[in-house]
Amino acid sequence: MISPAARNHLLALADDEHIIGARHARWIGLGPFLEEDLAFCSIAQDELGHALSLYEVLLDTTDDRLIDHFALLRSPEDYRSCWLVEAPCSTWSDALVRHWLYDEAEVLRWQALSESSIDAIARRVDQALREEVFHRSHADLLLSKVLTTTTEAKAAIEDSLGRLLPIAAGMWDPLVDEAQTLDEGVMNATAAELGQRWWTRVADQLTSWGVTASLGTNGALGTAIDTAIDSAIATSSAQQRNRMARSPEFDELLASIQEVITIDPSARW
Amino acid sequence: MTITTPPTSETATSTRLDSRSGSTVPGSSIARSSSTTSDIDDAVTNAVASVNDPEYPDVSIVDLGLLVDVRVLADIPGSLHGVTAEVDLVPTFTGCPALSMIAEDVVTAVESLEAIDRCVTTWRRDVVWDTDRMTQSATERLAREYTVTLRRKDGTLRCPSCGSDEVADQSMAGPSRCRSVAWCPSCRNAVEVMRG
Repeated sequence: MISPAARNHLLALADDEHIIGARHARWIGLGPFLEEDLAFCSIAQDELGHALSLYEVLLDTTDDRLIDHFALLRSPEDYRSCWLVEAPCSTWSDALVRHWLYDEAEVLRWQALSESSIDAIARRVDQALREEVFHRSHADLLLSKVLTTTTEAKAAIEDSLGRLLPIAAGMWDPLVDEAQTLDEGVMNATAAELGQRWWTRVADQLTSWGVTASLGTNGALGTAIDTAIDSAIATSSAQQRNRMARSPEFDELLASIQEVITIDPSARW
Repeated sequence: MTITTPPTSETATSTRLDSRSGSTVPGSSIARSSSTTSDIDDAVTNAVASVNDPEYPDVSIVDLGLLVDVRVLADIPGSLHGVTAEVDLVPTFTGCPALSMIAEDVVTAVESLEAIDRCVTTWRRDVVWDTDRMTQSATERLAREYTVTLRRKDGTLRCPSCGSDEVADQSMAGPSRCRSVAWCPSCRNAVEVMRG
């Protein structure tokens, strides 16, 4: 039996995986070169697979049709995705930076479930983490290469980081009932603890790449990082309201991912 | 049985299925068959092995290492199900779009056996597929017929076209999620590599 608190926590990860998979998939045919087209398509498939795997547990079914209906036909207020995955990221630099920020976080979030008291969840961790090895190496390699090509490319990445880092802070907004989820042993770290690890990894990596992206208007990574992070967290928390509020672009995204299923909701694919 | 070393489709009939779960009943209690339990399990395994991977139309899913476990459950009096074969499979990756198609093919193949009334498939999420699960036969066939190769333990690659060991990785993302792309400077051919 999965408690409502645990369900909420797992739904946040499942919906993030689903929505980022849908967003990544938009780059098919539009990537800057063929290999990136294919890489984003592969990564999108993996993330959708992770979502499917989690929805199976949440719904206690492997029936594709039931899972599709749940994944695609809820009201916006019933999703628990964060704004980082919902964002359109319609420039390549935004999409690449979002991919890197998300996968750095995703690994930490799955690791926190590795000894989950919900056995079906703990048993799913190895498959997901194995696939994330490729995602992270892809994002690291490409981002580090792009940052050393031209000053324009580096400026574009820094611009994306400045825009997306404050939004990404919303990944770490604690869900209501987080304390209960911890008590139940669903995961072994709070969102704040995971977030702290993530900010450290992100900041260390950016520093090693020589990036000093401005974080909103509040300072630069590496110099005023604590203040900047605190400010980003406060802003994201006010806007995203602990994953209860959808981003301004969400309705359009939802309508788009519903286009096929609404042709015939009873169809079996 | 729990197959730790995947059987090959060629040898499945001789595979002894001796490690059995407690819920599996002895063959003698399967009313409509005088076969031994092992024979029935072998028959189910062979039926699963007759299913080919949609991406490699003449390569068995058993040779690719997708079969994890087979259990044959006796007919329970009063049950509408009859003799049930439970077949556990592992996807090569979580988001594989062919899972439903493969599962349907397995059900059709297993339910065509006279001794089996119903087949239930499960995609196991607790098993991680990797290329070690593939048989030598599948490995050779992929190289010969599809010019798809496997990475050696030391990370090196052998060109399936000319046999050169000088193959260099090019991109982790190939024409499908299961394959990356490398290049053989010796015969100047692209080489696809199976990816876990």
